[in-house]
Amino acid sequence: MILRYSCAMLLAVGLFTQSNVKPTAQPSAQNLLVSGTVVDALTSQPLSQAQVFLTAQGVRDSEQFVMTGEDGRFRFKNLSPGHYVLFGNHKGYIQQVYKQHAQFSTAIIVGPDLDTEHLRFDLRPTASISGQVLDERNEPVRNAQAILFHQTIRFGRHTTWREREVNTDDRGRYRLGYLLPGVYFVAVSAQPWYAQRRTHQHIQLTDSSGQTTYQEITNGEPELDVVYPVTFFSHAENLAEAVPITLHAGDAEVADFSLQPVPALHVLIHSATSSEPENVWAQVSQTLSNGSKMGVQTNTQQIAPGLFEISGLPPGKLRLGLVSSKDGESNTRWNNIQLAGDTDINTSDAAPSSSVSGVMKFDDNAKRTSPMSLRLSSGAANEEYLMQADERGEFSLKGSVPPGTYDLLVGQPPAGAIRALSATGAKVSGHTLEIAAGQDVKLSVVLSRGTGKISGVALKGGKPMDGVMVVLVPEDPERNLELFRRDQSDSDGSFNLPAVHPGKYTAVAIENGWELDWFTPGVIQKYLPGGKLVQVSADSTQTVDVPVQP
Amino acid sequence: MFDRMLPALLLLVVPNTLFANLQFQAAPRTYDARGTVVNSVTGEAVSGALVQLYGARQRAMLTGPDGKFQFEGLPNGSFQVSVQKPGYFSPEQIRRNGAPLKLVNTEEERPVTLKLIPEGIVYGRITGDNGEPLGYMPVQILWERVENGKRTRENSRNVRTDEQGEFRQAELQPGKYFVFVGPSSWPASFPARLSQGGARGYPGVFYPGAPDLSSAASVEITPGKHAEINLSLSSQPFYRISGTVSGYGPEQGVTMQMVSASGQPIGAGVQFDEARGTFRSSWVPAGACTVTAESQDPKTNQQSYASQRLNITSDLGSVHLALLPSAVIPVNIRLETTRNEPQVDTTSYFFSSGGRNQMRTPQYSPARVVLKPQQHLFMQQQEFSQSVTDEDPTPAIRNVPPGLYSVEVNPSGPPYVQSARSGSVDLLEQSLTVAPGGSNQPIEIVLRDDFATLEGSLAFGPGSESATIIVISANSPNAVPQRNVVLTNTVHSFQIPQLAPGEYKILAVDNPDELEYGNPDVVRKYVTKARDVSLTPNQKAKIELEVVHIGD
Repeated sequence: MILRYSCAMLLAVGLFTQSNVKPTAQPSAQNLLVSGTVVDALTSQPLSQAQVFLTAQGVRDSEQFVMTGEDGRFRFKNLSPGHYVLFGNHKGYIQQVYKQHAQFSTAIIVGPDLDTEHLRFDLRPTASISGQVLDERNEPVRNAQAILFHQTIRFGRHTTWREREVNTDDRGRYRLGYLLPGVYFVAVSAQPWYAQRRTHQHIQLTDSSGQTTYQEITNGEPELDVVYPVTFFSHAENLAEAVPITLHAGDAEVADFSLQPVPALHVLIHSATSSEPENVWAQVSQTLSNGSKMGVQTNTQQIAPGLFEISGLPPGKLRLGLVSSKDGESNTRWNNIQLAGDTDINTSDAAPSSSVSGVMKFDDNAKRTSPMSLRLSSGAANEEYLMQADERGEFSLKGSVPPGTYDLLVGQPPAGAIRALSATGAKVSGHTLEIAAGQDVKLSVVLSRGTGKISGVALKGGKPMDGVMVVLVPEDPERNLELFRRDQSDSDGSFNLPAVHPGKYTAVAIENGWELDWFTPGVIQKYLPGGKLVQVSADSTQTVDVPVQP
Repeated sequence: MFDRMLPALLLLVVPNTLFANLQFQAAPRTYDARGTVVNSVTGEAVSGALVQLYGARQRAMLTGPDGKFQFEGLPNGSFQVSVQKPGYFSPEQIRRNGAPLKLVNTEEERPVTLKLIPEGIVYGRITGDNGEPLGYMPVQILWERVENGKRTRENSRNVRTDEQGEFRQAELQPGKYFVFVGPSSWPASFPARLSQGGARGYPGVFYPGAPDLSSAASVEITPGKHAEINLSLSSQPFYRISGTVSGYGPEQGVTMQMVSASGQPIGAGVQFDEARGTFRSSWVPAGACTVTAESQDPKTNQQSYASQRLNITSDLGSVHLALLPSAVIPVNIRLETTRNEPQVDTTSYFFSSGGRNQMRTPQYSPARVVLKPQQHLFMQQQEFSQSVTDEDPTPAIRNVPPGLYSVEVNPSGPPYVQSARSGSVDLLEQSLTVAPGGSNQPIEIVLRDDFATLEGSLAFGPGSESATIIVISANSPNAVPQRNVVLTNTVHSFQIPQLAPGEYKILAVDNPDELEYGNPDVVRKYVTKARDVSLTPNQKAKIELEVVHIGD
């Protein structure tokens, strides 16, 4: 089953008061049981004093609680048939729903002929990474940001995902607790607290003959005009050279940092329109990992008409957005630079932005029930732009999209999938757009609604199997991420795939599928022959039993 | 060498002749400024401290291992210097309101000593019934101090305990603090059936275990003090609230919150069922609290608000909240001009606070009106303000939730506030009650420009290094006295321009940071030493004051 809330939310409000789900349990109590043992996933030792919660899905006030005894056992009595959610919590362990894998878990299906009395509820000990950040004087760096990256599977692909950040305290210490086992990276971003930016000034000199020259004056001390480049553990400049930290359940790893300042770099921006009153400032970012970029703190200052100085830049690969505003109109130009020293840039060398606008509609012409949005996503440039459609389905992004190749995605995937895309001003191939510098783009998008349903049972050797990953694979899978559907089989082996768009699919069930990067080209293909073909039409409900593959 | 002598000029046209002079002149004699940075408590040298010197060109350097600094190549004269380092406060940061920077004189060639005051730290561990560490517990550190003549309690950054139940808060200035821990946002134990009573959690307590501030013990932080605060909490019954909300439209979401009597959000959230109009809170501790509901019409942006005060001693069902539109309070400002200053036409020009003439534009606002809600201990509540401009034909403060507000009128420029009323309520003296849902009476403000000016001379006693003049209105005893000009003992005269005509008591004191001059009981001690002044419109009055020493 698919969980509607994150784990923390489940604890807060979701689990116990899910009232808008159709009730599945019969009101009359019968003498059915849910029982089992909570164990440490690593050692298989029973866990006493674990909190176990059971909720009949969609039944108000059905939440029950027990604490496990010395033998780790829990037991809920007098239950009616229905779908139940089992949730476990123990100090020092990751709180989770039964057999939880991210947003998926196994619901306990209670019924007269179903065995729900021998459950093994694995809880994994939490792990942590902590450390201290020191500066070049071996003094603690306060308020440094420790950034945690997790090597994991997202949207069916291996990615190194930026998970969260914490700040160091007055001792320069940070702690990233409550971590799942896995592979992590840690980076530290900080500014030297004493940093003072050098500034340059151009003084205009006019001699008696009316000849004008400029004299450059520098203010500030070079030894204080420094930055700390983002540092990956340990002493690496980027993720590729970083040392991975592998956490096993219960591990407490230490990652200390020693930051070394480097001279801050300066970039001079020569504006094309030097005579007019113009204000320029820079929006600078740097890429930390795929899907994660970070803003760089900089100052922009005008030092002469048409000449602006960006200071406080670290060396390395940076993306500069040069925002110039004149008469209340602002315009952003883009420049990707590899900085090794101070440098000059002409705004005319930077690529102007495009406006992207258009209209979206559903292929069934029915009225939308909720507001829709589209995303323009560029993996290469690490940019993403959200376009919110109004009541008429119209959307517009004014003058801010850099040139590049973008994938058009639906903001809320189950609500709609892109069926057709056409554009003026950009080259289109499938759901991919190529936007040229300064070229405004008009899109016409047709969406389909997923109204089909597939349910069934995952069978291994003819017997229902729980905890299995069920994937509904569309035709041409590499171009149709939005059409994939996934579920985890419940305790009776059953699964449900809602909001399926019309089309041809193959349903596959994979026993140890939770580590599979199913959207990586070629990965899911080898499972297709062992799957079941399904043809889905609008508003249809189908039942398919799917054999479980190893 | 030569660039250091040039003043910080930006885009200035320098005549070539002047520049040539600078270039070819024989280098004048230069001087050094030097000194040592020390820890004010231990007297030890502080290395790696940033010293900044403010001259024609700003200079900066870090002190060496011996805490010493030296700026070379300076002209003769006095320069202001400041010092900073993480983990320390500079004397200017600790003495608010106009404490001057230290001066270094290059001609005297005498090294200066700059002091850094080490920060205070509060840290500790929170444990529960069986001595187990309590993680994710909110910890608030309240700093009680006198600010602008009033005793206030400032909330430090909120911190939470980590998995080991530990918390830590650095960067505390010397002073008096209170530590408040909890309540836990989630119960520690549950009943067998969660819909029935019996959950237990940890309530909020003040160190060392007091239920309220009046019975709490303060923590004195002196410079450099690290105070360890360990608290062992006992679990108590927690309860849930449920009920209904009415008065929201079909497309409108409703946001609900539970807030303790001291303004702290409590519990882990309120679940609202839009279709049924029902809500249920997560578990909260016993005691007084308020449940609030807010909603906004997406089309008109009109906000609605409802709140219900509860005293929780058991699970509560059938609490009803009826959303009512938040108030719209019209604001009318009348400016009465009496002066015919040369070159100033009050219809098209107005003088700004800097004394220069300012063009009167459609954006020009004669005053800004601020509604400040009653302060809770832990929550800085939203203020509502409106700048009344010619552009807005119906100036009003919108979306104000019901409650009690103090009204502040800040005129832009010299005019003073002659009156601010809402119906029969004098807003300069009394609070404004904003009624739920109803239309509210307009706030009527009268500004006048026939202000008086007060001049005077000061007599400093021995040991008084500086003076602050406190102006107490004798006409409106409830108005908070204003602190005014700050002077050092080298200056013996003062001028306070733009005072509203009326009766005043004028007091000069030497240590206003320590004086709760907003409290009439405290001021009474010194008020005999104040001078009574009666100011008539446009008057220029003169008085003599003795600087009163505020004792330890």
